[in-house]
Amino acid sequence: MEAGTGSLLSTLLGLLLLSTPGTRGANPALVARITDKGLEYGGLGSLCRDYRQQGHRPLESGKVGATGEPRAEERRQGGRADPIFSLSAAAKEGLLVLQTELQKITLPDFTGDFKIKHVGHGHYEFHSLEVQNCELRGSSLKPLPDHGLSLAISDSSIGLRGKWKARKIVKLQGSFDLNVNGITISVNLLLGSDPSGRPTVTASRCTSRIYDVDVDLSGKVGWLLNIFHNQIESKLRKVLENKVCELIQKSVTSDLQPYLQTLPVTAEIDDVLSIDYSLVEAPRATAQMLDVMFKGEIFNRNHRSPPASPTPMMSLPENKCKQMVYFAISNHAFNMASRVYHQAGYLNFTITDDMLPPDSNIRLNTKSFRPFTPQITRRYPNMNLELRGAVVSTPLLNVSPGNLSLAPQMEIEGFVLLPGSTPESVFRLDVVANVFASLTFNNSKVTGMLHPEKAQVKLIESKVGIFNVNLFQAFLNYYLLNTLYPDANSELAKGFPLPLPRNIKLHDLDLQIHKGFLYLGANVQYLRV
Amino acid sequence: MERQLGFLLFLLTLAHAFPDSPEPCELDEDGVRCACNFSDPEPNWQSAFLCIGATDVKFYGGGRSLEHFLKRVNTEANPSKQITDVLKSLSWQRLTLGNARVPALMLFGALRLLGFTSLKELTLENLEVTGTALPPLLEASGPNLDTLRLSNVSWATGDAWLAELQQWLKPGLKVLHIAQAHSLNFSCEQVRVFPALVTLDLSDNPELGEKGLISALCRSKFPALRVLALRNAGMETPSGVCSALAAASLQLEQLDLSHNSLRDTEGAPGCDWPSKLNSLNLSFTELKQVPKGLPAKLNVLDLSYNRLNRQPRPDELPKVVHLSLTGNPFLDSESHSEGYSSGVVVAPVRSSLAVGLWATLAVLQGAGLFA
Repeated sequence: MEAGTGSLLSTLLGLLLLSTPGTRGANPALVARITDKGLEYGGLGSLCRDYRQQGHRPLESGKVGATGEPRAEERRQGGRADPIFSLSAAAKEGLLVLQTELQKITLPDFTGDFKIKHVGHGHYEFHSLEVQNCELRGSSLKPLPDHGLSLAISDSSIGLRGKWKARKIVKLQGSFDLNVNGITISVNLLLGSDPSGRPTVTASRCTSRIYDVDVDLSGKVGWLLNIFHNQIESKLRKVLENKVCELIQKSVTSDLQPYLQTLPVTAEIDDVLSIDYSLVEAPRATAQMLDVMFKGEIFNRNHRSPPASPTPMMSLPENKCKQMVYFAISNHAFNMASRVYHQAGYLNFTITDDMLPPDSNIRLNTKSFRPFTPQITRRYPNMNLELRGAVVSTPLLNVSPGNLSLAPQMEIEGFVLLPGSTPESVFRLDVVANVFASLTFNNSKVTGMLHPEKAQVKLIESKVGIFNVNLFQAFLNYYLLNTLYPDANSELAKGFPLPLPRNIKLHDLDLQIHKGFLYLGANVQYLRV
Repeated sequence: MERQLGFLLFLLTLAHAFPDSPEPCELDEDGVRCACNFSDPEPNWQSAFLCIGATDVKFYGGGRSLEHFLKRVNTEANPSKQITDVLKSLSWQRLTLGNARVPALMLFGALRLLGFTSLKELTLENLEVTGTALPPLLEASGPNLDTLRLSNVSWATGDAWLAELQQWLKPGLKVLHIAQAHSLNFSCEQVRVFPALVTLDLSDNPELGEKGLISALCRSKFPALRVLALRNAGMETPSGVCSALAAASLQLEQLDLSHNSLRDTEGAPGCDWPSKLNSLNLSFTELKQVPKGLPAKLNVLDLSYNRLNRQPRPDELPKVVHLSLTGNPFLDSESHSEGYSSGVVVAPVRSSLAVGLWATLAVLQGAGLFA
């Protein structure tokens, strides 16, 4: 059994558990909260019926069709309109997979002895068992407080076909049909994280009950064995009950766990930034939700160094959980990104004469700069200038209810490019800009936009006489508002990816701005690949 | 050898005399005064950027027509906020625009942009304004001027030009000069009140005359007017001017009638001068005698540089605190010591070029190279 069953539980849990070793005791910068709505199956109905209606070919020799699952279009054409094509659909998918896995199961052969009164003992054998069909109904996935998740399936059924043999008293063989009804499975999944920070999943408790088994034997003298069908049925029932839980335990330990270990831990955001998604502690479950705490550390992917300050705690609201999933992103995450950019020198800029359009008669030289510094040509008659801007300290994002703001403080220094010598500094200006940011969402990315206010310019020093600060401020604002901010906005429009598996899309996004973090709620759509 | 040296010196002098590059614009050392003369056939317009930081700015168009720029510029659109922010930061105080043929749309568009600056004085010289423009969407969208000077400006709208221009002016205008006007025959109903105008200067309009003055001084449109200058304005008699003033019911305090060829009319009907009139300038008016019908009391009466051939009798003169009779012929004959106080005519300083040339030639002559 491979990726099939693995993908069952991984699609359920893949949203939650992407990790590598994380630090213990730290606060997360990113929290994903799955509500019971998100875990609910809701309106699953009859999956197997669905499945058969799609005209899926009956099984042949234990093999299933290529994917074993009806394609998405087929399902849609089936006319079942799921009101919310939701995470429960992911669960549905999982169950479909479970079904097909069950169908792939090589059920063990049943052997046993039978006794006919006054005749003797015989030996029977059921082999080459295959699952014909199944119906998984009444399924639910709920958070289990202080534990993890609880998965339950009730009132389901399965149909098997196989061959039988009888020996000793009579030597007979034939085929049979077996229908198992009223299957109830209940599994508790314990979610934790191991000392190295990886998540762990264990099936801590598994019970299954089968209500009724119905056997129909065919072949010569099958009628004879039908006498014994009570015994056969009760034996089969016990065997199957054990098998189901065994199957689930095996799937969890040999498929899900290893799969989770292989999921990526860091994602690259752009040329400079990467984010670390490891868990800081075991996922926390309450009656209504499951919280997964990610480290959310943003670092320079070329040169990782520990963050300057620890992440402050986020107090998530205990609201009514109207949506399926919520993300809480601490402004600390943005500030870490900002610090990386700052230290990597990305927040610095230089303006030189060759950046002006070639056909412009106004150049970046001392002659053209006279409106701002009329006396500059006394000492530097006609030389090129260079403006170097540097952000003084890391701009920090201030998240407060209702708005996001940044107040970057820059220093612009003007240099005269002397021929054959190092550039000479001639003036320094202090520039403070207030920027308000708004966030929007677009296909599972967080995109931002800056709404700048005017920058304020002050003269720190001038070595070339009078400096027309007001005029410079007006031109700088013109440049910022017409060139720099639009360029920054087109970069921000590229977006910041949310930690989602490939097949998950978000809808009905709702952003709340709380003190110190952004709280984003959404409904989830599972896309079939 | 000596001859070559001399020629070299000569060339050096010439080099200093002319600017080394034909840039149309020049900014003074302190960045305060800036002047642009776009007289080249293909001038470097962007050179005007130099004047962005100055206080006194002059733009001369070299006599060209600016009509073809109208296609490139949208004069109707409202300027964007960033442009208005840049305009607000300009420290232009005095602006002169001259020597061009400019469409009215462009002129008023410029006034609208200047409305965002803190311009105080505007001078329009030698302009030919063509075409008409719609009135501004917002009243008084122009700059909040103290002083407006017009000199040799012709308007396509003929007599209605002042009414049209006035729509773009803010009501705080204090000083208005109109010289070499093509028309001062204002249609007074269209002209609005100038609530703050204190000084009106209609000098250098030789065709104006007293009749023209009456049609120029729209009644009750100049409630705050205190100073009226009519130098070289074709005035003929003081009493004629007085009637014009009375017709306009102006409360003048100072009247300048100098440089007109005044004559005294005998037996002219008496005229009531404005009651607050305290300064009357009648210099350079070729008067042969003190005219009759002057106000009874004056603070300043200037009768200098006329043709008075005798000392006026006290009964001919009003009660005057400061009387000036300098430069009249009767003083020449009476006394040589009096009357030569001010008015020393200084010959215009020749350009530094010429001075340099002369100096060099003198040096070279002295050196014997030009024998």
